[in-house]
Parts: sequence; structure tokens; C-alpha cells
Amino acid sequence: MLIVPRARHRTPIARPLTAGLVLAALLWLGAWGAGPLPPLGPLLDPWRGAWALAASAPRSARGAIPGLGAAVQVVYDDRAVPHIFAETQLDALRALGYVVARDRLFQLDLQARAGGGTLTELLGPRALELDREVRGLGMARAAERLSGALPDTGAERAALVAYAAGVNAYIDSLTDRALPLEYRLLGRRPARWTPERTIQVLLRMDYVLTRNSTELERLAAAGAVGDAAAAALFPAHAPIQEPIQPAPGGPRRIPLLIPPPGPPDTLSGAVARAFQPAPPQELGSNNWAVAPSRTRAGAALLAGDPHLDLTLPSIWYEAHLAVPDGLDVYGVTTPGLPAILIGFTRDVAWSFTNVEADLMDRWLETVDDTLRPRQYRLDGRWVPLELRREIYLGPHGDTLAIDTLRFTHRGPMQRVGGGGRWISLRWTALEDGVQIGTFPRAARAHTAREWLAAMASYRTPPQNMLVADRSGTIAIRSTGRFPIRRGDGRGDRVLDGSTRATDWQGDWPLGEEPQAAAPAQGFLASANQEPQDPRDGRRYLGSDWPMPWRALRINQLLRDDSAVTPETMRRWQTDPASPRADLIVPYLLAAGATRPADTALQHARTLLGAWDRRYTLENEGAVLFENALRGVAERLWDELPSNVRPGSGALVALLDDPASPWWDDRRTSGRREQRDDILAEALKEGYNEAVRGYGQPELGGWRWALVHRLDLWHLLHIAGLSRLEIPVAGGPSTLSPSSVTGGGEGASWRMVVELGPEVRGWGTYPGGQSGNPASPRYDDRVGQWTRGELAPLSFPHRPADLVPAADLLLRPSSR
Amino acid sequence: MRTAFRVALFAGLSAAGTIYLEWWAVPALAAIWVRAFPSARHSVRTAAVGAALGWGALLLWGAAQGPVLGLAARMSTVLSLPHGGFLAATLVWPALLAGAAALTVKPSRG
Repeated sequence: MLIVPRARHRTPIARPLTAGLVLAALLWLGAWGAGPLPPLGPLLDPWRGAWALAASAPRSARGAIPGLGAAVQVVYDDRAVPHIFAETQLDALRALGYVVARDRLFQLDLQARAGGGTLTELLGPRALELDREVRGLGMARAAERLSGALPDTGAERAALVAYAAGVNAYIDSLTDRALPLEYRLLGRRPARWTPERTIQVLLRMDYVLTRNSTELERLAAAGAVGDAAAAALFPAHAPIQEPIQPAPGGPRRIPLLIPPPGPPDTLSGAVARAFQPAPPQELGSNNWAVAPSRTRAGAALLAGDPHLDLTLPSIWYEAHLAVPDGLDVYGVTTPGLPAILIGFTRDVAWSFTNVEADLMDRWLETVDDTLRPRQYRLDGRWVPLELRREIYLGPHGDTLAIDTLRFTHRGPMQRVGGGGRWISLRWTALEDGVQIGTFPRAARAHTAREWLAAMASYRTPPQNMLVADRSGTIAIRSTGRFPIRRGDGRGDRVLDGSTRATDWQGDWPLGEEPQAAAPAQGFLASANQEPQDPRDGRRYLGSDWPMPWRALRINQLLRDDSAVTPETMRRWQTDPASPRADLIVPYLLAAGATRPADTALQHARTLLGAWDRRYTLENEGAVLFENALRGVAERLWDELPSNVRPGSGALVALLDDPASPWWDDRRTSGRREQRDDILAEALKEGYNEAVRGYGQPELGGWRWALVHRLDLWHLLHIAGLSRLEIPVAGGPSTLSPSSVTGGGEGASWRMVVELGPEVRGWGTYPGGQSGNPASPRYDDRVGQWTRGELAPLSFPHRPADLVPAADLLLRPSSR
Repeated sequence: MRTAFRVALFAGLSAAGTIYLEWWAVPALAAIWVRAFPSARHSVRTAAVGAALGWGALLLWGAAQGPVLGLAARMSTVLSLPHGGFLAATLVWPALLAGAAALTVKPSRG
């Protein structure tokens, strides 16, 4: 043991000097923190520091909002859902802004910053690349322009201003004790809300839902194997057709011939490298509705579950808005948006899935200077570019970077590759950001047809809008702005920018949008698949539609049951069956049979053959199947860059072409593999990989619950504020899809509504109403969501109908 | 007995200072304390222990308002501290502040 002799003769000044230095260091840490350490003083303070967040919200609270016409009564039910009873719609939106800020203030701020490219002001230089991408896409400029273009006296601006007043009233009343934890950790304060910030949130939604990543993958593929092969690998039409707009005869196959790899297309490759495809995700939503003729109770039923990135707190916030003039709507809103986006009223219910349409095109521009262009060539003359300086500020107002962005009449322009080529981008989101007013208008509808009519002016992000009403009508329409192109009409290639002839020629008329109402089959469903059968010969809407695996399953369930109940609808939302496995497994089994002497392969074949092809928590076959499929993809797509993986449609097409050159594994020289060689090898390797990773199959380590976990990450990716490694049923392309490794995507909101004499709703989402990690409402619904359960949703006519868990009275304030 | 009283008194002062001012009131009060009672025995220790007790009392009050232990566990994970680390840090921090401030301004006996 080391013994340090005690100093016996310390000078009188030494002790206070040392103590003074220690005190100075402590005060510095307390006030400013150090490195990743936040300021410790305000964090540890037991009165107004992080500890204060543990205090339960008062059972009865009051607040004030400037501009309120009359007092607003907010009653919280036992699921912490606010029921807002106001005299006018604008008052209801003011109150909505207030209660959302009360529960989700940091999320509001962060989402707007993500859409406006100002994350660095909160998070510092680590967010610079994200901000650069967002501003480079023109989103910051678009938010400014769209906000400025809102008419001063219009209903749209009034709604945005009212919502902002509610958010800001809460920020103004915010005490140090209630400051969200994230701000304490970052040493920051919330920014005030403006209408422009709501538009930034809308643009963020467009970024998530309409940024066409598969188009970039297709360009990257063209950069490796040429345009003809790439076009077939990312086909305009799915090789299995089960469209949203019901087509006679049920599902059908359409032939897809994939030509051999050809010479690379260098321009496409350069564009893809400049715009970097996003990593593939298992996003994808479901909705379906059943007419009274096929339900047990004789009332229409509707189910919806939009699939998105799952985070804590959730992207959704449940609320009920009730106004005497006819607005009485329950559902989910996204923090930052003054509307209930998905939900129901006393007469109608609706839910959305994303239309995977092509809304983003690219043009090769001719410029006057390859390094710093100021003009671009258009129809034989030089046209000045719009130049815009983007300044990225740090948390303390310091300048982190300055970019000069260039815009053609189409949109933002970026330099690609080293050869000085410039590509401009046109994206509907940058032009059509604000249609939030359509939602309260539609919520006043009494029938499905009225609801669709009210949503006719909705533009972006386009949605497959499914609606059902109390009279029994069910209807769907793929609603939004879909551009019309010249020539072959396709938008998934780089176009010639030197002429206006290649510009968009207008938008699809409403009557041409894929739609159906009161179908003879008695049900409607969508799962992001191609909305209409290509036999209908309509215009180009997009390419590389997801294979309709989920649609096949939903429609099969709906066809087989003519007495549907809300309980069956709930169960179907987490149905673990997989039409994808049903189609592909027989090919793997047949390929395995070609090598009877291979012991490992025969083990694998036996196990795969015994699998019921359901992604339940207890199943032990899914891990083998997914391992094998990954091995197939590695061998099959070895001609392509590693971040490019065609969808399962291309695989399905090649399964019927056993001698295609695509099956050849280029890593084996002097041998040309065919389909069964690759499938058998992938199955065997998938088995070996599973044994290496999870042990021998009889030991129980292959159970899906053990190998497939979901992560609900906190918005700042702080592990301590996240719920990680949650076992969940479902897998790629099941009705509750998730990626093989689990990841963080899935059903972000599940809802079932029965439109009987009294409308009844059930729902849940993975998370909780509160954004405060110390609150029991932060993640209280995760278990319910994981089990596939739904909670009955309270939909009181008046405050007295509810036994309140808490209440909030909002009064007008003079400020 | 007198020492215990002085510790309790400083605990009350540091808790009140934290409520009505902010966390920095703790070192400020400790500095004033040792200057106000220059001949008191163990004045530095009194300030350090009293500050920790004062914040401890505020934590006990907070525990009656909501799930403090759950928050403590979550915050320990967030700050990569061992289990209970956030709670310990909250008690040690005011003691360090008060002790260092008291030592800095304590009149020299030599």
C-alpha cells in the first residue's frame, strides 16, 4: 500500500489557494460543464434541476394563452390523452399547441430543427452534415418561401399562428423546474415557435416519406450494370400485382425479364454517389376497411397502422378536439402540426398509407463555370442562377460553416462527381408544403364521400386515404400531387436540363387518381403497393413499388372472413404469416434436395421444411430463412455496389429464370453457378451462420424472440433514455413488419374503429404521451404495443362524461 | 450538540438558498458562514456536511412528489455512472462546493 506522508509544514497561503482553485473548477463545471458533461449545477440542483422532473404533474392546473376567445377546458383521461373542449376551432388549436408543448416540448423543437437544417444550433458541429443535407435539398429555403406565401388573412395562416401562440404561451410559462431534461443535458433553452417551424415539420415528413431512395439505388445500379439492367432490377411495375384499386381476378403475376449486366452508365453512378441512397428500412403502412355486409355487427370497420421510425417519445401524440360548431375529432397528431392527422369523428374514420410515388426528378444542367456557376443554359440562352448563402451556427451563435447554394427554376442544384457536372432537383415537397387546413375541414364531414371531397386539395406527402362512415360506405383514394412528365413520362432517369421541354407538364387531375368506393367485394386495403394495375394504362406514377406481400396477406384474411369483428382486426395487425416466405421457401427446399450428401445442407433443409413460415416469437425457422435470403442477396447482387439491393420483386423474377447470368457468383472463377447452386449454398451457409451465432438448433437459441429485437431509441440516441432490445413478433413483409435485425421501425400507431350507432375506437402506439423520461407516461404503452393489444379510446361528448385523471383550464391572457 | 445544531442550521440555509436563489447559493453561503463564525470549530466540515444534508432534505421532499428513484436510475445510465451514482453525485456535489468555498475564505490561524 502506498502511504503518502502528510505535509507537516504547509505555507498559510497553500491551503486556501488550492481550495480556491478547486472551487473555481467546481464553479466552472457547475456553470458550463466540460466536454460532453453538461453544466452540473442546474442538473444536480434538487429543487429545479433534473430531480424536479420526477414531480408528478399537478392534478389540476391553469394556464393562459394570448388571443384565446374564451376559456378552454382540457380534461386528461386515464391514458393521459387531453380532451380539449373549446368554443372555436382556433381556440382548440391554441390549446393543442399548449398541451403538446407541455408534454413534448423538446421533440417539437428538434423536429422543426431537423426540417429546417438548424440542428447545429442545438447540438453543435456533430449535426452539421445533417443540416447540410436538409438545406442542400432546399428545405430551409422552401420553409421560408412557403411561410411567406401564406395569405395574411387566410385560414391556413390563422391555424398556424394560433398553434404557435399556444406553444409560445407554454414556453413563456415554463419554469426552470419544468425545463425538459434534454435541454438540461445540452445546456440550452427551447426556441420560440413560429408558423415557419410548423412548415419545417411538414417538410421533415416529406423528407421521410417522399425522398425517393430507390430511385437513387436504381441510378447507382445503372452506374454499375447499365440502364437496361437497372431498369429491370427496379421495375416500373411489381411482378406480382395486387393493387389498391380492386382489380378483377385477384392477384396476378406479370412477366419481368432481367437482362444480363451491361456496361456502366457513369453519369447515373455519379449522381447516385452525390445523393447517397438512404439505408433500406422496413417502413410501410397498412390500412383496411370492411363494409357492414362483411362484419359481424353490421357496422363498417376500419383499421390503420402507419409504419415509421419508432422513437421515444413517439412521433404521435393522441388528442381529442371538440368545438360546438361541428368539429369533434379524436386521433393522433404529430407534435408541431395543428391538426389530427389520423383518427375518427362521430361519423367517419380514416387512416393513411404512404403512396410510394415518384415526386423527385433530376436534371443534368449546362452551366457557365464548372466550379462556381452563376448561370445555366435553358432553351438556348443563359439564365442567372439564384444564389443563396446558408450559414450554419453553433449553439453559442458561432459560425460553423457557410455554403453557397444554387437554384435553377426547378430547384436546388448540386455538383456531382469530379467532372464538374451539375444536377438540379425538383421535388413537390418544396412547392406544396402547407395543406394542414384540409384536416379540420375533412373532420367536419358526415360521410366518406364528403370526407374525400374535403381532402381533394391535399397535396403532399401523397397518401392512400382510406375512409369509412357510419352509413357503411368505405372508400379509398391515392391523394396528392402527382406530376405529369413528357416523353415516356418516367421520372426515374436523369433528364436533359437544357430545355424546358423536359419540365413537368402539370399534375394528375383528381379524377385520375387511383380510387375506389363501396366496392362489390366489401373491403378495401392498402399496404404501400402499386395503387392500380398497369393494365389500366394510366400515367407513370412511380417505380420500384414494394412487392405487395402485406397486401396479399391482408386481402387473403379479408376474403376468408365474412363476419369480421374489431377483435379480428386487432389480431390481424400483428399477424405473423408471410406470403414472401410461402413463395420463396419451396425454391430453397428444392435447391437443397439437389445435394443429398451434404449433411449440413440436409439439416438446414429439414429445419426450414418444418417451419410454419410464421414470424412468431417462439418460431425457430425464421432466423434460418432470413440468413439464407441474405446469403442469396450477397451472391446474386455481387455485380452491384454494396449499398444497392433490389427489392424482392427482382428476386422473384429471377427465381423463374434459373440460368440467368445474374445467378453466377463472380467470386468463384472458372465456374458458372445457376439458381439452385446459389440457393443451396446460401441455405447451407445460413444454417452454419445460425449455428455459429446461436448454437445448435435443438438448444433453443434460434427462437425469434432471442434473435430479433426492437430498439426504441430516444430522439438524441441516448441509451439511458431509450428502450432497447425488445423482443417482437413479425419480420420482413409481415403485417407488422420489421427488419431482420429488429432495428427501430414498425407500426407507429395502431387503430381500429367500429362505425356503429356509437363510434368506438381502440388504439395504441409504442411509447407514451409524455416526453419526460422521468414520467410514468414516457413509455407506459410499450408493453401493450409489443403484445399487440389495443386500449379502448375515450371519446366523451362533454367533459362531464369522463372521470378525469387531471385537468387544465386555459384562459385568455392579455399579453 | 452544538455542532449538530450548526450542521442542521447550515443544512436549512443551503436548502433555502437553493430554493430561493440557485445551486451557487451553496458555496456563497458557506463562504459567508465561515466568515460569520470565524472561531467556530469544524466550520468547514459543518458547511460541507450541512450542504449535503440540505440537498438531501430537498431530495426527500421531492421523493414525496414523484418517482425520484426511477429518475435517479435513468440519470445514472444517461451520465454513464454506476447505479445510484446520480444520487451520490447530488449529495457529494454541494459538499464539495461548500467545503471548497469555506476553505478558500476561512481566516488563517497562523
